[in-house]
Amino acid sequence: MTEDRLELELSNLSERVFPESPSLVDGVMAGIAIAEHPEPRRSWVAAAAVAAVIVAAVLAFPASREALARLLGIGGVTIEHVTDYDLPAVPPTAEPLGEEVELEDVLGLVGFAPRVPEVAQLTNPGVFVRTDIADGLVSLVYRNEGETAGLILTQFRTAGEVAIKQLAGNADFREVTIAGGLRGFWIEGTHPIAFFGPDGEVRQDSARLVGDTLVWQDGGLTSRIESALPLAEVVEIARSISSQSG
Amino acid sequence: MDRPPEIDRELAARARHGDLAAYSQLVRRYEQLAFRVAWLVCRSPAEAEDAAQEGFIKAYRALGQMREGAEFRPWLLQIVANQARNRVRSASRRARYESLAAVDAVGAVPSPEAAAVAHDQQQRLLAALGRLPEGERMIVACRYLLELTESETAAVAGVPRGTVKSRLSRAMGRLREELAEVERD
Repeated sequence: MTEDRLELELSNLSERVFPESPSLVDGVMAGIAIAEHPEPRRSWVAAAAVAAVIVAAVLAFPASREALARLLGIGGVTIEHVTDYDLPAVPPTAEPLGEEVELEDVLGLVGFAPRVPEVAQLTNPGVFVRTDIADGLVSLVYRNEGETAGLILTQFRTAGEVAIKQLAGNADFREVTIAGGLRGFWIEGTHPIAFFGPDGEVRQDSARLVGDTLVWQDGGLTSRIESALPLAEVVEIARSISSQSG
Repeated sequence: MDRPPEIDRELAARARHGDLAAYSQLVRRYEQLAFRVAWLVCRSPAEAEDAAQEGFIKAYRALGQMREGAEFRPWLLQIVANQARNRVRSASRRARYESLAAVDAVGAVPSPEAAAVAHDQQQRLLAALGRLPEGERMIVACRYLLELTESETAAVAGVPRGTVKSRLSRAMGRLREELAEVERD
């Protein structure tokens, strides 16, 4: 066999030899977003605070950066502007939310009782707890008829500084009023999210893509709602929760 | 793939300044190649996927250290190959790796119809390739299956270019010899 023929035959083997190539782009871009989170400061680690990394599609402008910092009472918030970053729409899922427990057991597990929305349509949530994030992360999952998660309310206590990083994409991002002086941020569009534990390490298995999300802080409790509902309805739910505080 | 180096250079320059959209374009351009390079080292699709993904993330974080005027592709592939090698070093993982001689079982499994008409020559070549020493097999796969340049092959294999030349020459000689023997039989 000639050299040229052998080279040609080898080139023709390529499609038979290699396994099908997976798409890497979403995992890489989410990984970059998580890896870019700054190292937590010592005081933050000592306080065993949670750092929630909300990697979202946002438009960066100084007002938002300051407002977000003000909202959560923290510094160290980074907001970046990136365009044309497409992400697939992924419905909410309960998988990374932890162990399913009974509502009455939550207080014993995480040291606080979750606030439950007082809205007629939201009943019988699945209750999930992760104790490796912050002092505990509680998620109430309201399923729709298809048994998929229709709305997820996540709550956790923030004892110290909270670091949040938002990355830009095609989603919209703005500050909204929930009630009185209580304000939150509405992130409209699919974006990845991951949480940090009290040791400052990313909980890789908490990383996932989420849809429209409202996030706010009320007292020492940070809450977020992800769902496919319009903003007005989500704010209504948030208001029913905040009315239970203090 | 058409890859004028200037396009890569422009995308890499934009990514260096935080343009994630530019970097996602680079990922799309080279995700298949990176995965295949990692697979050549790992021989496990799952490990290769992880190694390639880690390689892209590591490359992004190291963009600022890239030598001015350097090409992105060989630089990336070297990082990916290193990530894959790090994974192979774990003895527990090594047990799961499969030999290139058994690539049909790991990779694109041909349909029964396709298998029935598979070219004998290809089967023999695949078997001969599988019998090459690991170092030579890697060089042949990089040069002809992935169509990497000589310097890219050197970067991926972690050997000097001179070694690429000598191993390639030896390997091609072995392959020709083996196939000639089969033809004589």
